[in-house]
Amino acid sequence: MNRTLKNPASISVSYSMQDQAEAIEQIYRLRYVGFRNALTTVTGSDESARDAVQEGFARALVHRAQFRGGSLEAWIWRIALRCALDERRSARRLTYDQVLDAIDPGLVDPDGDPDVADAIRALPPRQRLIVFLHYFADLRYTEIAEACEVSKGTVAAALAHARAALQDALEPGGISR
Amino acid sequence: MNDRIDDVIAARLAAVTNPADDSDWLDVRRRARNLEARRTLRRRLRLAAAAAAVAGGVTALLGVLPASDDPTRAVLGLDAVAAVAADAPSTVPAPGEYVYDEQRFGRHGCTVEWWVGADRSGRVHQRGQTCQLPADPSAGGRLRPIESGPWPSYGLPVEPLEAWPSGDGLDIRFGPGEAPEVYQAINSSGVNAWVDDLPTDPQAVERALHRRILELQDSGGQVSTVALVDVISQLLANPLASPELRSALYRIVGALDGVEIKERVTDPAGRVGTAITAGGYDRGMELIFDPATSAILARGQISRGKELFQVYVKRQMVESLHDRP
Repeated sequence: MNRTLKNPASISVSYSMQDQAEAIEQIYRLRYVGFRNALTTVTGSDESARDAVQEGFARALVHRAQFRGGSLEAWIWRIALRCALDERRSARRLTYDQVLDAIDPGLVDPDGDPDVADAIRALPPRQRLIVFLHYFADLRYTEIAEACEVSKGTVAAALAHARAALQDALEPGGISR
Repeated sequence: MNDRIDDVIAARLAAVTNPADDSDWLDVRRRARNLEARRTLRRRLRLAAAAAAVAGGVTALLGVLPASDDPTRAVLGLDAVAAVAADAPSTVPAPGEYVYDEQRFGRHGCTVEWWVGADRSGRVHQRGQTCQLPADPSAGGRLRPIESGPWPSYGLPVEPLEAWPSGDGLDIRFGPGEAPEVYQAINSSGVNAWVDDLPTDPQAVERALHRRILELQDSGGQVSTVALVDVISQLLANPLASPELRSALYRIVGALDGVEIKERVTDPAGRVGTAITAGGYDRGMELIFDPATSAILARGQISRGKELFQVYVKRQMVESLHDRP
């Protein structure tokens, strides 16, 4: 690899195909665990989430010429989310909006932390996805907005709502503990 | 405030997630190649369907289906070869056993035989890499093993001859004027010495190969696909490579960018196999193997349009030094 990109998510369409391939690889190496853990909430298991990550990055490599700018990482997320839904049912013929509507994420092991699991389960599915992309995948608001096809303001509002809900749900036994 | 809540939520969520990093970039690249191959196939089938509709028959459809030597099919089949390699019987000799290895080099077809064996300690030695030219390189004859000392090209240590039970583990016969060619062919790199301590996980192997090739390259920089195919082909041809390592090497070579894979090619000995080619007219490498057994049939070095083959004619376990199957 020729150079280290401090923020591979900022790769834009002006990069060559080779650079994009390198940037995709770099995002994979830096962000793999976040991708897998966030996608586990969609697929229901580590194993199927791993498969979705692998398939998502492979498709990103093959179709990188179709990347039209913005955040490369968010673009890969869109592909990976579709792959994750594919793990449960065929999402090939769905529009991306339908994919997002069909995703119903949740913690795989709710018994591991029932308070958090219940609080998250009480959120609408799209807000849950935003929460997982924020906390597991460590995505910025802009990238979450691109991945979820919502405005940045919607992401901020959703996270604020989620935080409040989680705080309410977890107190007094949770956050203030 | 948000930061504090965020920290707490993140900590609670982190406690219920899997921190293990089981990433595998090689697998991603392999999947990408397979996707490319399928995409090509689909494109052809669509064209075929359109052509068939126009022609009103199936003749056109048959014309664009992938032939047996089509790379689309070959790419999809390389993983199967890796699986075959993993299940293939080991060719690593136990103490007291030998692998008879017959090879043919160069345009003149000069034949080289050597025996790969283990000494009584169980350590395996391959003598094919430790030889020197006779005083008169214009004469035909026999290459002698060197006792010890650094390898001329790479400064690598050479196993002392006394490690061999008989002290005479190498017997290379060649015709007049062919000594330089033989020497060049069997000393093209020090790669065979790596086989002892390479890992078997494909990603780890690829990392190790990158690192070691960079160490060998005076100029540093990037590792080319040609260099990787060169090294991988040498390792695949090495009888001391374990089935696990050979399987990993097939997985790596199948996922490399810039390689061409072609089925049903004929090697210089007339055998049919699959070829993996990297590079081009000025500098390139070709590796031909039998997909049914994963055995290497030949490896060719391309230089300025000419290809010099090293053909693996026969390889078999024998009971003692200088036995032939």
